[in-house]
Amino acid sequence: MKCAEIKELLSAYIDAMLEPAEKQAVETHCATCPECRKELAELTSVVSHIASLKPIDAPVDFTQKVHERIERRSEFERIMKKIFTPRMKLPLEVAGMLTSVVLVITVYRFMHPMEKAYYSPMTEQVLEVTAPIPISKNTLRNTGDSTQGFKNVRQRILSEQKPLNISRFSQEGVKKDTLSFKEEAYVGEKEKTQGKGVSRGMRDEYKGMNAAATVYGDSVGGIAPQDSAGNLAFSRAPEQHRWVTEGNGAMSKAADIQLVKYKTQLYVILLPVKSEIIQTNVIPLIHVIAHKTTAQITNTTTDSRGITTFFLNVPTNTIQEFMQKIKFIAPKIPLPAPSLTQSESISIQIVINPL
Amino acid sequence: MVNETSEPDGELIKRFQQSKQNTPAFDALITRYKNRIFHLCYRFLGNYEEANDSAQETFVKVYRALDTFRFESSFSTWIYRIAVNTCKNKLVSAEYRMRRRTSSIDTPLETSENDCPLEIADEKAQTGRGELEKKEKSAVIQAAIETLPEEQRSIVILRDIQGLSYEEISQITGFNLGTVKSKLARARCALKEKLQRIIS
Repeated sequence: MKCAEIKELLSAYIDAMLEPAEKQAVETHCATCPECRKELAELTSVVSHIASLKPIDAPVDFTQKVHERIERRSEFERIMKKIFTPRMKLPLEVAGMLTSVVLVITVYRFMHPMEKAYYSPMTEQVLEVTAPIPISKNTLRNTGDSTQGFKNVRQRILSEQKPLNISRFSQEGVKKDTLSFKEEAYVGEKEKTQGKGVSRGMRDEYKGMNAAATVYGDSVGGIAPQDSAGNLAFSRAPEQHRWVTEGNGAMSKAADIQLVKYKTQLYVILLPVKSEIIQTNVIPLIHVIAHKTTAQITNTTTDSRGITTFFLNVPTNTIQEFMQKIKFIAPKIPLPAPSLTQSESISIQIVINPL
Repeated sequence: MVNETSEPDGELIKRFQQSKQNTPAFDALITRYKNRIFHLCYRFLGNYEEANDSAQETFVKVYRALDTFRFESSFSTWIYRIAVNTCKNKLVSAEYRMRRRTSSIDTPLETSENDCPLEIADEKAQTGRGELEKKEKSAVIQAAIETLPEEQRSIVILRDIQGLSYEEISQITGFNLGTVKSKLARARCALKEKLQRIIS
């Protein structure tokens, strides 16, 4: 054996913990190797020095101090128990159940911070209060100036089509104003090339409608860009349909939703008047749509113009259901032809304050 | 003061377990183990007050856990394990580290009931000098032990000071026999380097 190996064994040799063969090897090696012999002597000396350290006894009052400490600890625990033990005993099962419920709610709220928004008055009204008001494209084109156009369309709408569920969330007093506002907004948006007078007028009207919230739905045949090669169903649609929804809510006052369907894509454009209002509602709205349709949101982006775009992946076999859930979109829009694809990618744009 | 009893540990423990308030049985265990545990704590921590605190804490833990002692190991192994863990916890406690930093000046080299006298009477000068040298040597050895890593330190103390077997050390520390052997060898080697002045 080499010196290094022998030195490894010296400590155990001192304690007589070596196998006989190892012990023999150490002894044979040390008999001829002065260095390892010295090492063994020094190690032995270390061990004996340590062993010779004077024992330090516990103080005489040690036992008493231990008991005092035990007593103190017990007293402390007794007090803590008294403080925290409830007077009324709750069965363990009930306590466990209550704890579980609280825990589940806490975790759920933590994991779904937007859930609260789903049930706010604003978000409910967006999806639930809908009423289609079909208007012919010609009607719009007849508008000479913005004010006149507005009046014409307003009269036309009032005389020809009445919103169905329009006042579900509105108070009766607000209903009429809201209706006229919607018409104005419609014209203002469609005829915006004629000047901003109407748009300002719309804003003024919004200010007077603190309790009303209005969302416009617009399925677009005519609005759809004609140069879109993929414009299938809607390019042939002779009518342009417009829906108006409304409800109460201090947060959302107005928005215009436009929808374009190209093959497998839908574009929903919310045109609110006040960006600071819709800014707070965009994200909840996205989540409401996704939540209500069980679709998956992907790629939410907002560009420098404030247009928020996001995609919903909707399984093909549930697209009908999707349309029905988004009531302001669904009624008048032809569905895409049956596709072999598993799901439809629906792109939705929310446009903030485009006026 | 409880007199030493020859009653085996197991019997004392059973008596304690039968009646939680059986103070005499517990006191007998304290009396039997207090010096060994105190010495272990002192060599581990190198400070009388800290050792006293840790040793007391060890027995408090024993008192609270003795009910659940199932005789799967010997009581001696069990209490040593508690003591070693208590000392390790003490070493990492902020309070201990703070105190070590601030009290090293006034801590005697080797404190016990006989503190090192500042003046030595003439007739005792010779023995006093020898005593002083011995204490100095002890302090140097103690300081060397304290430089060892925790695991090596506990193994050296258990083996070379408490005189426990490798098997007992293995049970106390949880290391297998080979690890105990190699850690002990490494610890002794390190001490040899630090104590050259004394051993040569």
